[in-house]
Amino acid sequence: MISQISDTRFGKLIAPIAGLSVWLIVALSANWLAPFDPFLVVGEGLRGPSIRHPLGTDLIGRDLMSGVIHGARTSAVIVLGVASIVVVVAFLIGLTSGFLGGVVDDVLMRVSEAFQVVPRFFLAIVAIAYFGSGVDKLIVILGLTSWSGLARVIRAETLSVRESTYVEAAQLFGSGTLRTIFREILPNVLPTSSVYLMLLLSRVLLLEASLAFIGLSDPGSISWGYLAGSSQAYLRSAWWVALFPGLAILLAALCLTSVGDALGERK
Amino acid sequence: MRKILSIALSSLLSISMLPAWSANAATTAIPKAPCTKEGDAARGPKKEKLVCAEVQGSKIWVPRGGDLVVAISQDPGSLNPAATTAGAVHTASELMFNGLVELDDKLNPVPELAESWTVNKKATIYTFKLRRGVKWHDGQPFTSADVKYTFDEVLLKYHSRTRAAMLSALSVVNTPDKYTVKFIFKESYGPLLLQLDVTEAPIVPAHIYRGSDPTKNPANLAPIGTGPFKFGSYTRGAEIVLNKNPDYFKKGKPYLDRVIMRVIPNSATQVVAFESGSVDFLWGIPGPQRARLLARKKVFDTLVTRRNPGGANCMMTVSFNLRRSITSNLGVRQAIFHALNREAFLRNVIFSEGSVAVSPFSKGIVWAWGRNLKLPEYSTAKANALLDAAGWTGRDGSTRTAQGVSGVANGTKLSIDFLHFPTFSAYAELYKAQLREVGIDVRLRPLESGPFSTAVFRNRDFDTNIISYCNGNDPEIGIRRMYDSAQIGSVAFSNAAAYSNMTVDGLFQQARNTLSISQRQGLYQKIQEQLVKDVPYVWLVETKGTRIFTSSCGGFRAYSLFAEEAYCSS
Amino acid sequence: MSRYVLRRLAQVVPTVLGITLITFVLVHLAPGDPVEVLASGNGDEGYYSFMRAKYRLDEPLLVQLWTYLTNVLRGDLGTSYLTGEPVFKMITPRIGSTLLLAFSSIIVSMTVGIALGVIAALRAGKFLDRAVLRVSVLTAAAPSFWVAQVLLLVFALRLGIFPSDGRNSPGFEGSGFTRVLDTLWHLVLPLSVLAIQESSTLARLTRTGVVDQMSEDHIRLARAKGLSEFKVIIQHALRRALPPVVTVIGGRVGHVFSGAVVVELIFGWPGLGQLILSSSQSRDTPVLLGVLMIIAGAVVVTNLLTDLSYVLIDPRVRLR
Repeated sequence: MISQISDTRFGKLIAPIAGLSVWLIVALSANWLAPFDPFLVVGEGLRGPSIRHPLGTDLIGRDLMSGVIHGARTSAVIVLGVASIVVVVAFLIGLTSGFLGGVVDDVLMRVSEAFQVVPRFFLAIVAIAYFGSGVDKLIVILGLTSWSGLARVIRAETLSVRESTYVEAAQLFGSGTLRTIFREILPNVLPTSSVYLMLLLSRVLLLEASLAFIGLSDPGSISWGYLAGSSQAYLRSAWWVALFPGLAILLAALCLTSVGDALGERK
Repeated sequence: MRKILSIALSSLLSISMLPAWSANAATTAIPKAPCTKEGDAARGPKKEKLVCAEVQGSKIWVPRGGDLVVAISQDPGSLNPAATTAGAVHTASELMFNGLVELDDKLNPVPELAESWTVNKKATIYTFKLRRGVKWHDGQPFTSADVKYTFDEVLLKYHSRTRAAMLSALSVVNTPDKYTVKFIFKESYGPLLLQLDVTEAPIVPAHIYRGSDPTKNPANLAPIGTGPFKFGSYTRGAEIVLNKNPDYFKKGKPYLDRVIMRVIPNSATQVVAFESGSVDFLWGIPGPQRARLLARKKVFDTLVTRRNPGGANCMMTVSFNLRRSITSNLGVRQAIFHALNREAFLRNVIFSEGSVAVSPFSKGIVWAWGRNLKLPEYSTAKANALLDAAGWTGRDGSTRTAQGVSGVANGTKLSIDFLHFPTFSAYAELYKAQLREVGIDVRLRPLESGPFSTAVFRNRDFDTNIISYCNGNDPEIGIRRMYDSAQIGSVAFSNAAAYSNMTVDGLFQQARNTLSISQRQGLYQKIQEQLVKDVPYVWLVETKGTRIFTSSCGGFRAYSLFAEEAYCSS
Repeated sequence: MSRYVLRRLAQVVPTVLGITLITFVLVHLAPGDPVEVLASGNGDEGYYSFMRAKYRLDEPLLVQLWTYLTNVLRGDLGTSYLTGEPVFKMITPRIGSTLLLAFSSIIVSMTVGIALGVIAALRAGKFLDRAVLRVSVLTAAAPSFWVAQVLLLVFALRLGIFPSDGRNSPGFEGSGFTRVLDTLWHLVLPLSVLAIQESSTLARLTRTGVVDQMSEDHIRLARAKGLSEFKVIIQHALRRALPPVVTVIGGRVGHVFSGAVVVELIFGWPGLGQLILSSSQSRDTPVLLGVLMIIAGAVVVTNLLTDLSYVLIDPRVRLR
């Protein structure tokens, strides 16, 4: 019976959505939940998990559990920030391109291709090196370089919906363009876009971790990527400093991709 | 299914946690058997070729030939050690060059390219007689013209320590004949003999560089030197191969056939490469790995030293920008000093590989460091009291705000920035954490060398920063530039704090003009007492380097030309 | 067909130029003075003015851009601010390494990924299918430096089978065949890190595509004709399922280049990844722009090739 439920689309969504909700709750209540200030030295450096510090301490003696909890908030901010930028820009460009077609479409698609071609990681490295690291700058950089894929998806869906007869019918009956968009196009565009978005966001998390590994993350805020990436050198002697934040990233990325997969599954 | 997955995953993880077993673990140390006549040949117990050689003053049987593989952390980009003090360049290239005078492990000057020297009574003229028959790697003879060119066109323009110390004092470098060099100073100059080793003043060939920009000459990528090893190849980003110089002026040396410098940017990978046997020598061990590696004494050997290719007697120093309103306040600076638990830096950041600074000068300059100085001790109570007294009594969350601080509007947060190289991020985070406890908010700004120098020295756009100031083997070399008001300028790694005290300037000048060590010591003691009162910097920790190498190699020196007498059994 | 090819080729140039434009403007708008790098921490105002004039940094942005673009079209990528070396000479020794790593990972991950996807589709709904799915989801979500470290520890240290770093053994002097073998031996671990992550994505996509195809009419027809299940899948379902997979590969090239940076750093692989990091951190703009252009060019060309192969695989595809 359980396997029957879990095989349905709804069933597959339960676990990952629960995971994402936990993430969100932890992120919102970080200040109350964390036992210590994540920036303060509260113990000996590189001590393993103990009662006082369930996840151990990092190199300079900060509590890792508080770090992971606050990291949930920073990572959530990054992911939501990037998502907002990507969604707004991609929808604007994708809808316009698909709906209007012609020259506008061509130009916009060329622009999006230019953004898609240079690997995001490289652009992020360049931008951070020249403009400085910082969560706000990171969100802008990642947002502005990630919208092109989604824009294409939206454009494709818009195109196919536009061709379909009942949109023409609706327009014949005098529905305004905006209403057409909202009532006919958007509902069809949403499923594919959400799949794409979820995959994108999980990649953003991993990208941030890789940037931190290179030393390009924001040192003023604790994020999972920063904790996991900058402690990679201790994997052999102080495994907890790298493992727990890395696990957090892994689980969060898993939840995001699972939601995406479940949404994209055809019945 | 889940079972199989978890079994697979856990076996993978546990394989990596098992104690190491690798192909080359079973190496044994080479016995140091003494011999009598240098150059004698013999066969060892395993039929390997041995030669009687001089290593650090004693004659022992060493294996002949072999390759030494050394791991370096950065692609150097240039192999000209005279045009920069960058550690990466010096590490990769010093073995190809020489200085006029070397310093032994007790810092006594020892002939190198110069075979003898005389100093006049007033110490204004130093005359060096150069060794004859020394050849550059391309066969050209080494002469005094090379020394003059190197000083005039390269060192005094581009080598930050030598330039800062000598440019204003040196009048001219004369070459009366091909094998004589005269340094003529404007006034008495005491420390010259300590500044002529391959780290502070390597000699480059005039016939190669004359007429070109020394920082952009293609010879920087395929250098010609006089040193024990010749340039073999430089595969960018991968490795630098140095071959034995068969015509080296120290007959019989070096003992190795090749030294191969491998570029391995990631420190964890360096340790793996070392433990798996593909690398023989590491310049340093990442802190958390130290205990584990040092326990394997039979297989590895270590060497601890204060002298590095990038400079000797290095001290991690926090600079205050004395021209900014917050940090210009003496009470605030003292408070920050009190708030920093320097023991914690020693333990957690460098894993006790060094010592807490007890004076502004490094203890490595044995005769010059300040005795019985009372540096502000770790005390959050005192720090808080001083900040309260300075008027930072308001609160905004956990950060203090101004309430009656001169030059600062009421309600301003006590928020300062901290500039640092990305490699020093552990220092940065501990600094931030410790200052947070006394209500100071720190904004970290990691910057690479170029942008860092611009921000600190050219634009003075910082509140505090951290620099590894290498003091050198004499205060004139690396210390004076930090405090001399004449050194406030855009040259990198000069007087970062913009400290300006006429009395101190005068004392430094006097010390430079004196030859007597005891007199100089008295002067430097006075200087340091004043510095402790003025707190232009926080003298954090002195760092040492631990070199680690496989026991099948030996003969390494703790300082310049580290592999001149090294050997490896193949 | 050839019209399509020409059209696509013609689109390459504006795309690459567009990227150059964007990045050029980006780095020149950044705070900081490029002469700092040129002066390498030396010098007084006189030296600065001299350097500024020599590199024509006083001219307006558009003029500098124009000069740069015209130089590039003539094959001159400029000289490094830091070492004075021609940018071309700095990039050439490294580009081979990165391309080798990137393309071999793509080929391996394509083979492994598609094969795994087909296997999963063949056993759809059963144990093997779910196993492939779960493993691929996990590996795709793991940070790449984790995967790299585990491989390094297990295969280079504990088992000692593969070397831990570099493109060739230290001081390797062989040439020809021995050199190729040595390079391949060093390639295995870095390639595996990239391939593991890429093939998991491709496996899932192939499986979905094939499974979807299985319910189509032409499959039923093939089965009715009496063809073996294996032939049905390979010759019919896979053929139709491949185009979206292949298109995705084109899009993943950028990904692989990004992943290569971390892999190159961990394994000391001497490629462009290290160069882009060092040149951006030291603000060596000419080198940086050169590397970005080359990478962009490589990605665009790969996209072009995959688009063309798309046509070859499924000739029914209508070309816009």
